[in-house]
Amino acid sequence: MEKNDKLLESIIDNMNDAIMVFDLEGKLLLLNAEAKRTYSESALTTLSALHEQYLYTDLEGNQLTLEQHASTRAFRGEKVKNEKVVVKPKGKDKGKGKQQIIEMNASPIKDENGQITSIVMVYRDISEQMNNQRQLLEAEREKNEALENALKMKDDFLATITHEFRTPLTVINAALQSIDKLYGQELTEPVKKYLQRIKVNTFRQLRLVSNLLDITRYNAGHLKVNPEDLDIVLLTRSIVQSVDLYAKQKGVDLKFYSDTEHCETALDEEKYERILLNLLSNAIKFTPKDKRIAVILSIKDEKAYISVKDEGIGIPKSKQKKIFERFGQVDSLLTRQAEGSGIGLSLVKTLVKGMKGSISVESDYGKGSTFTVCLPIVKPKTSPPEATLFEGQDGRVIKAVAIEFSDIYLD
Amino acid sequence: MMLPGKIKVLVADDNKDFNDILSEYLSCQENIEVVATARNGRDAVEQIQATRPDIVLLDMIMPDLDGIGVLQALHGLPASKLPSFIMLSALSNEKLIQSALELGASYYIIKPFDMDILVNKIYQIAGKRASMTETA
Repeated sequence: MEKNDKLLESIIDNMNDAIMVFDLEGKLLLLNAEAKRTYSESALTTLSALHEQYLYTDLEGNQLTLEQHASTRAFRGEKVKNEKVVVKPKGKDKGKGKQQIIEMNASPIKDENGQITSIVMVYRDISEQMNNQRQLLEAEREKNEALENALKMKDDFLATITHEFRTPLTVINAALQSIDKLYGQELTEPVKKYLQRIKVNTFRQLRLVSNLLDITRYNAGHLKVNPEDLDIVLLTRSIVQSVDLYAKQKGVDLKFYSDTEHCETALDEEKYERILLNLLSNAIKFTPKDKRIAVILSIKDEKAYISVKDEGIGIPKSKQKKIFERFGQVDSLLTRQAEGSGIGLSLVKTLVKGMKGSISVESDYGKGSTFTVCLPIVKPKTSPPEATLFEGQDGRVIKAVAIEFSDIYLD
Repeated sequence: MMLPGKIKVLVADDNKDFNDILSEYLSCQENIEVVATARNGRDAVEQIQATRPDIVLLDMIMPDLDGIGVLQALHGLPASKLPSFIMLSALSNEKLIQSALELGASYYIIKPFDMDILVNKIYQIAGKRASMTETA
């Protein structure tokens, strides 16, 4: 028996937790070596002495009264488990040691009648663990900051590059327009033909640069949607009409059908236009002469379905999934995406997703394809007014080049 | 109602080639006269004060003083002494556009652009300016 007691004592003394047992009057009955090491001797007499010399607070820094303290609650019969508390010596001649974060456990000890006779308190020092955790979080935060900085630098770099790329293209474009308008009559037919090729390829280059920037911007999560209250039927019709000339020049019949006359919804006009123009540009490009393209708008269950149906060359089954493939994170992929299938259907998909919609394709190889965009109808009143980016901009920003359609009849 | 005489335009762009081509193109228009060109912002401010153009075509990125800087430098002048500004820039950064418009620019045209659209805007603004001086 005595041997067992000795063994138990040695086990308790070798524990890293401070263990203290108090009787009903709050007098210290028993303590282990770790408790002796950690707390001042004069404090290790009664619970009130301990509270006299040490300040207990929760992790937010709120002071714990003796009433809230685990020991008092254990006397009332409560079992306190792993409560995180900060213990700090009150200073001067009070307490010893330094501030600790502890996990506090307290349990009542009962006699055979179930009466509480004493309580046992176990303090586990978790300062180091908490500090490690804090350091990890700090490191994580720093890492995120560095990443954000890198992304911002990448954005700035891309803006600069875009500007640099566009500047010579602007000069070439202006020179071409001048030749055309000012000296057009002096040109021979072969020269005109060559100039046309220069023009088309200038636009192609410009489109590549624009798409490159868009893809990178959207990849970095900069897709801002600015919905305005619009009539989607009217808007779709006018977009289709705006490219009718291109279709006619290619000998393709382009028609717009809608099952609804008007439908007000909150829509980002610019992005919607880009989606539709891209789909139409592809359709016109891949549809041979004398064939048809239909744009069909239908409203069903609070959703707008916009289909661009062509009688073009179609897409083989094996490629249907790939045409929408998400942008890779690897930058070397960017060029391919920017040119890709005409104008980057992945960009279209990103735009559609940004507008909380979806896009799908059905195609019979050799017979034609149908791209269908589904967008939620957002009742005008529910659209947040602050989402509009430029207030009072009313058409003062001019993008005067329809680059989407610039090289349609090249092939 | 057109202004009496030709519309006086100043072209401010640091790219010499573009500045030359645009100036020539505009000079060939019936009612437009390019009164001066500038290749940096500081020069633009001086030329604007010296030549009193109706319309300034202003590039955003220029040495010495950028487009925004030019707008700020002239911001305090009374409206009757101020030309109208059309910004021309390859930058389509929303914040930049917004600050140019807030500083009073009439239009912000993203480069490259169709020069006839620019010519139309010049006539439009000139028409507005003429009707304003009439009512004043």
